[in-house]
Amino acid sequence: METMIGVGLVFAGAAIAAGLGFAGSAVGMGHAGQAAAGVLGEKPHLFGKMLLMQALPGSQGIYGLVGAFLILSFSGILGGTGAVEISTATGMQFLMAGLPIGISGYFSGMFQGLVAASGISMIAKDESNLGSAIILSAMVETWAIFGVLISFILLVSIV
Amino acid sequence: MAVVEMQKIRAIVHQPDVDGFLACVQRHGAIEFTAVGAEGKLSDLSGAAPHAALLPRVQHALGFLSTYYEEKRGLWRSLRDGSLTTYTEEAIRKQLADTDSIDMIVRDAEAIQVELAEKNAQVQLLEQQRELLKVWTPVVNRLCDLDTTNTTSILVSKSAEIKLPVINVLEAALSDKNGEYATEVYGQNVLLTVWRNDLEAVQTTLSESGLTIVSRPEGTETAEVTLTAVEEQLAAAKGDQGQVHDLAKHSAHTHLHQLRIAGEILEWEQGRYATLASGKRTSSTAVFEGWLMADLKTTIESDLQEHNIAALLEEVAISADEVPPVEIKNNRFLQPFEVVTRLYGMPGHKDLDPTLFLAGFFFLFFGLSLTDVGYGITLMVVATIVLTLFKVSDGVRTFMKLLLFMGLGSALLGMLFGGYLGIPAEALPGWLQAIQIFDPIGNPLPVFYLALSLGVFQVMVGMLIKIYSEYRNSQLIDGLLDQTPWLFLFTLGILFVGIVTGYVTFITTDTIVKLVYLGFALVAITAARNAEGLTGKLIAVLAALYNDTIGYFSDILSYSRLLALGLATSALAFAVNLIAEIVSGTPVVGPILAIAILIIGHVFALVINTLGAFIHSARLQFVEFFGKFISGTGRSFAPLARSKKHVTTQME
Repeated sequence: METMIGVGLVFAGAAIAAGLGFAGSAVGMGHAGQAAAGVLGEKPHLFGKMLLMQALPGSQGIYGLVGAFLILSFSGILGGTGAVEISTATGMQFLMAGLPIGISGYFSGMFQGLVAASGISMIAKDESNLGSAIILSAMVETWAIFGVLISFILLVSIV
Repeated sequence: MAVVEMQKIRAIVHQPDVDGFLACVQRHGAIEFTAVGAEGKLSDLSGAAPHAALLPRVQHALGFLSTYYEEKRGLWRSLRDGSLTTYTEEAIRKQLADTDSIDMIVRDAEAIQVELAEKNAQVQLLEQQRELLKVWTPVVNRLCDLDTTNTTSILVSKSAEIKLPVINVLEAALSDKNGEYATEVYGQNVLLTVWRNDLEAVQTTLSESGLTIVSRPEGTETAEVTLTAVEEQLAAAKGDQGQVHDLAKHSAHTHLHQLRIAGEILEWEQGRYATLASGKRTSSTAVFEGWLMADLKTTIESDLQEHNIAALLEEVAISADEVPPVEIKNNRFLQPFEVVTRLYGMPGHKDLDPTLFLAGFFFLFFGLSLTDVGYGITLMVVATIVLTLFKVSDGVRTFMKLLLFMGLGSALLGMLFGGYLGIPAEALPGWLQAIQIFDPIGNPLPVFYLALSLGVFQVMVGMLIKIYSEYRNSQLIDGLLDQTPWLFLFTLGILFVGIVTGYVTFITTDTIVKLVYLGFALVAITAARNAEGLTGKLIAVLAALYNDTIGYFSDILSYSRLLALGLATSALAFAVNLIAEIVSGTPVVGPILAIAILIIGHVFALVINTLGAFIHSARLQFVEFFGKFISGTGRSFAPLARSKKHVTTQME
């Protein structure tokens, strides 16, 4: 029974990491995509740059995916042979390890999308602003990166 | 493999040869013209293109006839034949010299358009009359009998908001008339007869009550009889309209291709004459200024001489505030990767062309992101088919070459990662299993570390390129001072990992730690060198330590997306196979369904994952790599050149 709870908690940690990351990216890319669609209505030749800007908030979903895989891998569920025995306490640790990457992924993805949308407006006015727009958007991603880092540190520190 | 050298030139052309000069330059697409600076005695140069009036008419006719054109060739045929027609220079000259046939086609198109407008208006009018007559059809009176000397009849209706019958509302509204009116109810409407003198007041009263007066149709007979006549006229008008549509379709199929070619050739002419506005003239010469691709100067001069065009190209000094436009040129192996560079934007005119450096990394990262032999081979097959069998534009051709490289990278790396359309490794032949080094799903950590290692490598390469770039711009010392401390720290990091993994034994972790302190001290010292005052230097040091540390850290971690994208490809392919396996057990239709799911599912997975791999591999170049050594986005070179929408030229 305890093993089942422990494994369940590991799954929950992986689900939080991935799910919140995906959600943040979806929201962020949605914001950026709306702005891009408006620009492309008047300047269709900017499609490549618009696609790039819309892709920027997608990083958090990728980090969430990576985090989920790391949680499942470190717990021995993925790639292990045979049944895995995980206590409730250990499972709780894996759950906690999924929180930084999930929460930071959601909020940074959402806000990075808003910044990307504003960057799209910059590019629409002057195409040479692409570099600046990318950097402004990437600044928000820094906190998702820290979330990945802390999650990773927690994973390697699990007893 | 570089940013093309640009020369600022002044062209002095014998006036009668101006068009020939511009045509030669346009053929080569080698000069971006700029406005000639105000220089004393020079007058403005101007001139109208000989066919300035014809071009907009041609474009208008094209817009009209294009809507009637239906591609009759199949997709395969149209891709095989392409949409470009090759013309010799002689044929182009003939086209410009003799535009009578084009003028005739345009006039015919204009006539068809006018006639069509008339028919459309006629049909619209008749349809309006028909709708009106339908409302009046229940009225048995002849239309000419509705008005007498003293009375007039109007048809009253109501809006949907009024729930009561019209007759009730009408009688309530006209209650003060003491019955001095007559009504006949026809379904939803009422025919109201009133004294002529009372008409205006009645109309006002009805309007205030929310009732409306239906317009009276033209005609003398009853509405029903008139409706029959109108419907006959409408049928005839629609028949005529259809004939004009058929005429437009026939004209489109017969003349559209010729018109497109003529339109493009006229646009080239228009472009040449528009350039005149940037030039100046003396009594016998025309003067132009602009930017010339240096490696084409000899070719241009030879071409001018061959065509006996009296023109001189002289190089002029570039002033301090002038920024040359940028064009990049690479060999045939690197040229496909220019797609990625151009997506970001041109490098600054003093920057290096990043195409050479990004090519290898992009090839590797795309392969790591797609990581599937089946998908890679599919991309290569598609690209090969398009390149060998289809006539496509230069842009599509270049992208297909890039796709060929990307497919190759995916196939090669797919073998190392065991990616074979989601087929489990155990099901593969032994020799294929032997090639596999990584198991991303079973053991993702090595792939994770590989991705981060590639990130470290690319970032360090970026720093080295920056040093080289600074050296080219005579700022080597600055380049070394800015980059060397961080290169040192990164090297220490690599050594530390080497110690931890047991590969490095000549140095201890204690020494590494001490050297790290030294490294950060170097970062602080070099960061403070340009700041003024103690406070300024302190701020510069803290900013450098914080920003650069965070920046490099986030750059490296960003490369973990390579693991995620590769995993996503494997996972999606696996899921498609799983679904197909599940449905294959369905009686009778199972195998057919399974095959359909496999085809549709893997095509979907290929498209989605290829798009993701391209976008994220490009993003890694733009954000984490280019930022290290490219200062800004240059201005793209925009020469006077021939567009290639419908016509290419054949060298004579």
